[in-house]
Amino acid sequence: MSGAGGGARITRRRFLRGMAAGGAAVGAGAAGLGGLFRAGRAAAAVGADTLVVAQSTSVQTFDPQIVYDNTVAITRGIYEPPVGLDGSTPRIIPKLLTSWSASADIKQWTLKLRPGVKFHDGSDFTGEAVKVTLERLIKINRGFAYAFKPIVTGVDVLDPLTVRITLNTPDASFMAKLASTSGNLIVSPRAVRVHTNGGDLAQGYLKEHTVGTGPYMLQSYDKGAQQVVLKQFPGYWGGWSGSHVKRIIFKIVPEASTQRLMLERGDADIGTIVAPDLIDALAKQPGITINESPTMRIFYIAMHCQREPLKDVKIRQAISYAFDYEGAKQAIFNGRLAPLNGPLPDNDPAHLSPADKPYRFDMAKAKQLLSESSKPTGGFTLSLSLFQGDPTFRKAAEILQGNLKDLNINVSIQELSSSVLLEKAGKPETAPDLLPVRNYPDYADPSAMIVATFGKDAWGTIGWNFSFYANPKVEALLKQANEITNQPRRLQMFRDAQRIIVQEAAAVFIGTLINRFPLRSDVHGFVYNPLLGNTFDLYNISKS
Amino acid sequence: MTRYILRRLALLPPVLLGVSLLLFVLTHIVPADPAKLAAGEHAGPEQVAAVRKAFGLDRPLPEQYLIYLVHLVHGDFGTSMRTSSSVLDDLLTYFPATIELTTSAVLVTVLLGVPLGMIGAIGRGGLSDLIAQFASLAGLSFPIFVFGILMQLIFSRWLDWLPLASRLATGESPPPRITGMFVVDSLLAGNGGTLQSAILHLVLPTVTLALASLAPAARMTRSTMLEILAQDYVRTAWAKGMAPVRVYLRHGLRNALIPVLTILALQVSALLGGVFIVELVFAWPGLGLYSVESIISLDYSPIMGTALLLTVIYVVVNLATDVLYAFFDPRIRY
Repeated sequence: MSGAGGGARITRRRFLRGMAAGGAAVGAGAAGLGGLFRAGRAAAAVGADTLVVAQSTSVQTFDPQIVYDNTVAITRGIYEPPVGLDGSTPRIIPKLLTSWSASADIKQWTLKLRPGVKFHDGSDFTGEAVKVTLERLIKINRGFAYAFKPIVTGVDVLDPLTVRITLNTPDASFMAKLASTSGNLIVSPRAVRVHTNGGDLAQGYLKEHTVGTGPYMLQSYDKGAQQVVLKQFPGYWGGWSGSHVKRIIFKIVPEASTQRLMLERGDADIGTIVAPDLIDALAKQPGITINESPTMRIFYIAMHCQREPLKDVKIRQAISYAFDYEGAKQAIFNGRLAPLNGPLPDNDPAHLSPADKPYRFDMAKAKQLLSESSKPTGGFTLSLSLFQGDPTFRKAAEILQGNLKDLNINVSIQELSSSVLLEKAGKPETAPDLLPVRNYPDYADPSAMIVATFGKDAWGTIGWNFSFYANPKVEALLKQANEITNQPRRLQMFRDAQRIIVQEAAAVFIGTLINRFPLRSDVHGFVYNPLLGNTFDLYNISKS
Repeated sequence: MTRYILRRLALLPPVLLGVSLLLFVLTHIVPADPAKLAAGEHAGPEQVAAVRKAFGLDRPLPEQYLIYLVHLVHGDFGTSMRTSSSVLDDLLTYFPATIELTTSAVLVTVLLGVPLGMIGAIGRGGLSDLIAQFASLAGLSFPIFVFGILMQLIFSRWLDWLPLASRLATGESPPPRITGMFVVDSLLAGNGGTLQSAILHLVLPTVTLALASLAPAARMTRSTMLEILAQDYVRTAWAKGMAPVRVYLRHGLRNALIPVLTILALQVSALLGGVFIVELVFAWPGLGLYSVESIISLDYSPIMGTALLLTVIYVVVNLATDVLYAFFDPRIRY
């Protein structure tokens, strides 16, 4: 060390000089900040032909057969399903198909394809695309594949614009499944063929590249800047004669308060915030409007029907009467909550009427039912688990906890991370007695929600049946409803099934969520998708 | 010195081995199934089993760990179950943003914290000392999260001086990638517009991140300087009529730098912890969002990769500090 001493001393001096120079540079930089600030403001502006969406979660994958999360908000502008939903309703309308029909036994569906549709890579949309997409979905077997893999036995291309899909079981909800925004988004067969690497069905390529038929195509996806830019596809079959934006930029902004400030400053046109308080604050700001749309997302507390003491239907009914529904609506959602009279929301054609749900906040009735039960005086503890970090679940749990005290029932609340809670709630042995849940159907058919939430084959995380409810009568009605196409009769069967579930109080049905999107006031043509939490129609949006 | 550095670096592999084992055990004892999360809601047992097999989660735990180690030695950090992307590629994408932000916060800490402490010591009890102490106490008292939002409100929302979030303006293309640090890359590419935008976007997150470390740096400099300024050799320097700048910088600051360096090294570690929160508030696409999303979905490989990378940084920063000791104080030898 001593031998290097002289050199080290020089280096030290140089270092200190360097520090002084650095300080001077900072000073000079500070002096020039005014100019920088002015220029910085100008750089942030984007034109009226560009829509900026603040997106809460990052892109997992663009792969149309795998994507099954909020990224759908982006991919649904790039890819299209065979059929779609009419505005914010669950009614199925043609999209890439012009018509469809089922065989008498509802085991074969014949699809007529729209002519003149092009993929972003210039290839034509034909029956081969439907075949490749469905076979790819089933083979990869992720996400929404669960709805197709067990039932699809063949996809035959009869002619370039006609496809026949054969099922191993009657399925009246098949077209609703094809209208979902996950899984069955039609991909270019040429892209799959060209980019398949080692039998991966082009998964490596389609993870970050896209080749769909949708109105927008991927211009860039910059992970480093967490920004996705879509641009118009000039050859879109729907044309560009109406009012549309030229570019759509999705900025990943996880923090809700940052999204709020972006909207206030005009840095973003649409936010994806869910916190009611922040949206209320934004509603008071000039230049911001709140789009309120009914959803198919239901909010309820599942009750474990297979374990004592909740195995006793009288106790479940008592709890259903002991919940303060109106108080919860105000305290949790600032009054913005649509009714829920059974498993299906009000915008589902098979929903129940208020007369079908007897439960109102009535402690006298609750006490009477409890006195007729196996635990007439209460005196037991129920476990309740919460998904961490969601204030709506916590408030609902605390309201129930407070209400049940009057019945001498103790509720022990435990908050867990979603991964741990899903594992625990996945099995009847480890699941909590009570679990507040928010659930939405994957496709717009009454069967989707009822089967997933209260079907015997959907216990735990296989579906979303955290009540571990099973009733042979309900199962028979659901099976029959899927074997006929007469819609009025189907709806009646779904209503009958729901009445049983409500009568047996498999859950405390609290309400249906109203989605509130904060938008800049110059955004027009916003149409919300009722199925998925944060998706909306990109094609019809424009800015003035 | 070289031998000392090599000896210290040779300790890195065992440290990484220990950390990797600890992390592996910790992530795997969490009672949750990442394959279930990756397969998606409503996934049936068959779908979950397929994901588990694809990512080798169906093998015994010791075997999984050994496979991970073998891959690691070959520079393969594994594949994310969420995104199916290579973890190494992801780290190379997100880490430069974190490094850029942390480095600029360290620079601000040194260039503001040390002078602030000196001002306090020189003008002890006076107005400058009070201001310096108030500033450093304010830094200690504010939670980073609140301070970040406050900065956004004042300088972006109300004054409209600085951009609110992100690394570049919306729609702006990043400079050609060389280091992944936008300030450096735009400088190398000679792109003045992007450089300006990158610097402006860096200001608020840097100040927010630096705030918490500014206070300890200033307070340590002040107290050490006070101690040193009371030494005999300083009195002698004054008696000899030495210029105040020389007394404060050469006799004062230089001798005060060792403890200050120690605090700074500790602060670098603290900054790497705090940077994740700052990244979330400012939508800064570094390791913060990546690791938070990985942890939520219990995506083993990204969690392990991020933690191992941070371990290497800690070790290197500590080694660099030890080497710097010897630079500033010739009496220290290794």
